[in-house]
Amino acid sequence: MMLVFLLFLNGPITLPHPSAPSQTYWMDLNQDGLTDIWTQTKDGQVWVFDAAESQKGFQLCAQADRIPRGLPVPTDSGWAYVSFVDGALLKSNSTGWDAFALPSELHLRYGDRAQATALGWLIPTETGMSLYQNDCFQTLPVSPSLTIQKRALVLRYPELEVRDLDGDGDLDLFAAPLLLQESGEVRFFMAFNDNGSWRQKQGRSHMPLGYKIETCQVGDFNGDDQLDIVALLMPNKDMSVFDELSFTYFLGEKEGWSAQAPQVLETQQNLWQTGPIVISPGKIELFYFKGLIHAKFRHDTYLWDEEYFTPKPKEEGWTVDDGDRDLMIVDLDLNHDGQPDLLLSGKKGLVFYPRKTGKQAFSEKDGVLISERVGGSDVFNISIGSNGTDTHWDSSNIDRNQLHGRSGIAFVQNGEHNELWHWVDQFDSWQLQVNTLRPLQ
Amino acid sequence: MLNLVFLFCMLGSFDGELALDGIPIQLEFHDLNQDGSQDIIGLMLRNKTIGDIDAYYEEGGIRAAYSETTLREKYLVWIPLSPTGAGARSVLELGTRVVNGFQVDPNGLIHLWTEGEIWTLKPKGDSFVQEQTRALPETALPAITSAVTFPWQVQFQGQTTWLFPDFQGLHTLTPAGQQHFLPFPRHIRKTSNRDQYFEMTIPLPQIYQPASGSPLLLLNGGKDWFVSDLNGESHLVERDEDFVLRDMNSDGLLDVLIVHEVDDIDGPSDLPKVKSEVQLYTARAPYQYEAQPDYSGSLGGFIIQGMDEEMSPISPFFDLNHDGLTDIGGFAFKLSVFQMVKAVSLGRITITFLMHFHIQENGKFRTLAGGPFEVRWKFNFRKMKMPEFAQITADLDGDGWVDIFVDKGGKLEITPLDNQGIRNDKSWSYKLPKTFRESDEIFSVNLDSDPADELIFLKFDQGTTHLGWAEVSR
Repeated sequence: MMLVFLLFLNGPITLPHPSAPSQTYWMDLNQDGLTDIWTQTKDGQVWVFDAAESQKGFQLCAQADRIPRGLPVPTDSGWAYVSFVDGALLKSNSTGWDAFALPSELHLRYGDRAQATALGWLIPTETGMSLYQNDCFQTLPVSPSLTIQKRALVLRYPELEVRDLDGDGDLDLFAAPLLLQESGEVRFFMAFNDNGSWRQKQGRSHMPLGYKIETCQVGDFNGDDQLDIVALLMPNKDMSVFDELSFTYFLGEKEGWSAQAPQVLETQQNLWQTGPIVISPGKIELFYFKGLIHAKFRHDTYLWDEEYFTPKPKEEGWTVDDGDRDLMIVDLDLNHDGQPDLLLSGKKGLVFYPRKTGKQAFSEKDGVLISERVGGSDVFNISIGSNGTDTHWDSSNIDRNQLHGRSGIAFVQNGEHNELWHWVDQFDSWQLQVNTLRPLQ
Repeated sequence: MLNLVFLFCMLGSFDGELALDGIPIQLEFHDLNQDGSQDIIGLMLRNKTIGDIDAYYEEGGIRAAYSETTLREKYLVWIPLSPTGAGARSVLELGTRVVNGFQVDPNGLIHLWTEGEIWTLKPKGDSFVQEQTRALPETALPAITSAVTFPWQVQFQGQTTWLFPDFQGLHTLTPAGQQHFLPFPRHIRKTSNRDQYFEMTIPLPQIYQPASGSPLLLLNGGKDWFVSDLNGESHLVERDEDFVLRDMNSDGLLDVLIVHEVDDIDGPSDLPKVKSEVQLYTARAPYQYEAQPDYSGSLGGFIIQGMDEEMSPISPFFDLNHDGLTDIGGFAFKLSVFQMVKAVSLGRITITFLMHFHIQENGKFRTLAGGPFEVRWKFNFRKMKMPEFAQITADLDGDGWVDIFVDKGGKLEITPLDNQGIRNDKSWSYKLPKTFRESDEIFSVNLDSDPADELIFLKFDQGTTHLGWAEVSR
């Protein structure tokens, strides 16, 4: 059955200021069980939308330009913005900022910013990360990688994100694998939360000789409940940007990943046209565009055969008229069949391709979602936070973070509904439009 | 008679070649055995594959299951060189241990910086003996995996002192085990938030050794330079624009050089006209400068003192005639649209750049006649780096002036410099030995006691390093 989508517009939420919102976050800020929204405009104003008081719309929280990224917190009289800076905590008040000194033994990391998470504040220190929870600092050693240049040392600290890694209901900490091209390594860090005590897992895996890492992704493809790493590789020699990349993988083990790469497989992706890698039990899927003039969509599936991948992928693809090569959403289940579908943007608008079972994974016959172009280079970022206590969110929402920094639209699975949120420029204001996507019977 | 001529040639030219297992992560030339010739000291990395094989009977024949693991092993090697060739090697196997680098001190000892320790080594027979082991000061930095080029060893108050970088400064360690910490100003560090990581760049100081007195550490913050001695006594030199702090005239005092580029270029044809306005403030006493520059002039080419960026420019400071005064090089690139397209599609590109030579005489700069000189240099995707001075120049004829050599595929074209300028009329060419027709690296080192430099050729070939050396005089 082909599904056709119609758009229903809920009441727009307006930001009463002409400057563009640059980042938008969805999270339960006041722990009332409802998802609130906050946004920071390009000139630094922080606005909060309290879901419990939706009639008030967006309320101005603070003027915070040149203040590191923080978080709105509820106060007796409204909202304050809290941010950690070098050695101090800043809290906005009606006229300016109050500063509170932080313990000096924290050795805050110069120049970095604190991150507000569902677990509490993650405060970067020189040797790792300090978790600030219930007025307590707990330090986790998240070692930076170090490379030596001719006249400088370069330290790279992984950014942590909050996820339930082991499915025990406690939120754990996870760092996206850090690619070290100089030493040909992948470094990783995970910390498991066992009722408030932390067990860490960190290590490194080596790239196959003669290759350089381009990008990587984690997921479980062999069904052993351990996260595996899939990395796109480019030959470590003079190469053309039109040459094709390879990929390899590292199998997840109990305390890390296999140190060596068992297999190197060829792909047809170019260095400058890579796309999402989707890892699911039994397979790896590579989504990408090819072609210089025409955007040729490609979807290659490599099947896992108990011990290795079959080198020849199952291939499918078609040309997207005037395709937006920056927009390729592959992880949303829009028709609630338990399988992620595909969204591409082109001349026809935003187009939905439901996932099927059978020879082809997607139907080339498409359903148009919105008949205007969305995304593109001229958009601002929307990222969706997740909140462990919020029942409106299912775990799949956490992955919506990958929209961050890439697209001006956000897809939200709100209970039964699929919603499309996007900012619309109304000349004298910005409107956060919510479009509910509903199948027509 | 023919034999005699042949023998004469053998003695007269200092050349040879050898093969080394693995790829060097640090390769240096020092006269370790004090026989008047520089020797090769290398920290090498090689691959070792270990396989498990299990052969068994099946269906009327033998089948085998196997798996293999590749390890990267390091070793230290010393190869004495002499006019008769390379001598017997000394090798120290280091396995998969973390080794950051080595340095050779004036007494011919090799200091190896390894996990938490410094090993002091001396070659003996086919191996090395460990003379001493010292524990390193505790630093908050994690293990360093690549070779270090930072000068982590200096001579201070008559003894070898080691320097170890940390987040906030340098730890020093003396042979007697004394430790000291030298903090650096925080603003020197650069930070940026990337997609999945946070990056912090901590500049390493330049070490400046004045003619007398203790070495100084110099850190450039753009409009200011932080200068510290090893006792921790520091000085901040500030101006209201970017400048270079450097002893230009070898009087032991740090001078100030300000460069403004004049870049009103319309197209490639204007490139030879690229100029830089240079002002030199010579120090009268430590950090004491007059209000007016001691030299002010317009010199050909861009004079860029590059920091450690991905595409690092060639250093504009060198000494052309070995008189101890710093001379200046100006550079201009020719990069056409066609070349840009080629760089993108092929991943590699040969660019031609123009080099102007400005020699320092009596506190002024004179541009050498016959220039600018055109140099071709190969770039690739991985290594966006302009040549170091020793990769294009060497005093090959031994007249005290450096000569320029350009690799023209199979042969080197050498153009001498002298007081009259760039002597295109006196150029000669050198046919590269067969192994090194397509060298990965060519650079100059003076291997023996005569004034002429030798050239070193390196060819990396499937896990083997071919190393050649030759005197390339006319």
